[in-house]
Amino acid sequence: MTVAAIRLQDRPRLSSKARLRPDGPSGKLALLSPENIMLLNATGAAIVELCDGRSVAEMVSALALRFSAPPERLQAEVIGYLARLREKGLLEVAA
Amino acid sequence: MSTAPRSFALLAELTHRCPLRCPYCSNGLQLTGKSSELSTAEWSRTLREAAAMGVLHVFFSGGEPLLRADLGELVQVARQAGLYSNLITSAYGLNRQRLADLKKRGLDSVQISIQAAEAALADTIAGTEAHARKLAAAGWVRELGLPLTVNVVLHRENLAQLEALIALAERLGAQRLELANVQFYGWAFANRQLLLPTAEQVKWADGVAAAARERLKGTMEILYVLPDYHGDRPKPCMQGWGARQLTVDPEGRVLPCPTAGAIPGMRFESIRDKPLDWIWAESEAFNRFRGTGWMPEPCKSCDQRTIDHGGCRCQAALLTGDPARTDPACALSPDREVLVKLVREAAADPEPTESRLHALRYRVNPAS
Repeated sequence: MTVAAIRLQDRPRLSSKARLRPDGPSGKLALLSPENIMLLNATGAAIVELCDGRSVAEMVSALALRFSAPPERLQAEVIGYLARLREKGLLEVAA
Repeated sequence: MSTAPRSFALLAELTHRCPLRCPYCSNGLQLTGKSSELSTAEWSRTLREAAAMGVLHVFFSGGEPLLRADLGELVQVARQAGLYSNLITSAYGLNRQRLADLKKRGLDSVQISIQAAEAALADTIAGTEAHARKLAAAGWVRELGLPLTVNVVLHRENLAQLEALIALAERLGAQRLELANVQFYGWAFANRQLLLPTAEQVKWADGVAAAARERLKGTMEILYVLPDYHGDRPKPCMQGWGARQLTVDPEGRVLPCPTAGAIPGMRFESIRDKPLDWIWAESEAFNRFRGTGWMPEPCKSCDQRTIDHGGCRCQAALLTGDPARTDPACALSPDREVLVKLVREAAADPEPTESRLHALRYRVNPAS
């Protein structure tokens, strides 16, 4: 099956099986799901925290502002990261 | 100062009691009775201690964890401690109301075992009429919006239904399907002659699983556990002894894996006597096979030693009598012939499934 590419107008949210919590020992954010633990790096955490139903375009703008980076440079990285989360079943993407 | 790695997951075996009698069960032949089980207070303390030492996941298992009337209370304690809680269940005895209550108390995920693709064979393997109840329970899990994992232990008697099993998991709306080729411990080891698939069956199943994984990418995740009796290299069991996860058994013994309690000559500490973090970091049993210092040849000089950790200590003990030897699932093991002989003998068994099923040795459960 070919999964459709993530588009700027899509609105990603963490799926019902994913739970985000701070992790004491590592000082990172942990993204938990059945049988899986992801300790997020700073970029990953910034992206995941914005998966609240806003559009990918809005996420990119917010991240560009926060990291003082050009949105066109961030866009591919954000979409790539979201695609990997979706492949793990951690993300639901509504159009 | 301890140099022990961090434990990420706790397998909480709440009870050995179980309404099913699956002959592939990896629990030991000596099962703990209800009167020896940990109390609610003891389990609550264990869950809090696990969270405090960095554990993130708890797997409520058994036996059948639903047989513990305090399961809801323990789920709540787990949630309050920040643990992600997974219920590993046969689903026998589950009803919608109880599931809704568990969800309300913070249950994060449910894993239901399925024995075969259709009721007749499934119920024969389970040793009781369970299949229809499981399908109903899977429906409630989805209705209540809980993530569903379907777990199937694959063996010679149900392997032919693999395609139908995958289709069933899809129909049930599982987000994750675990296809676990049977691992030979406990009751499964006692039934190995009947459960061991042939090399042809394994090759076919590997292909079916790989194709399904590709087809269902992004819809249903498929974890395929390799049958290690048919491979050349051992599994990286538990990602190493005392490396990432721990098990607490129904009477409180703390184990590096669910089956280590059966290794002869080893003494495991109990959470009734010692704090969990001390047992994990300092106890003799947890340190005995940590790292690579304990390894004999051929493991000691092998370039795979930090990848497969010498395989499984329980399997080495079962097949050679000594947990410190190389796992015979490795083709380089000097004891390899023991395992090869078991595979050869099982493959030579000409009986068809119907008559083989009569010879299965069913799990005998402790009284409730």
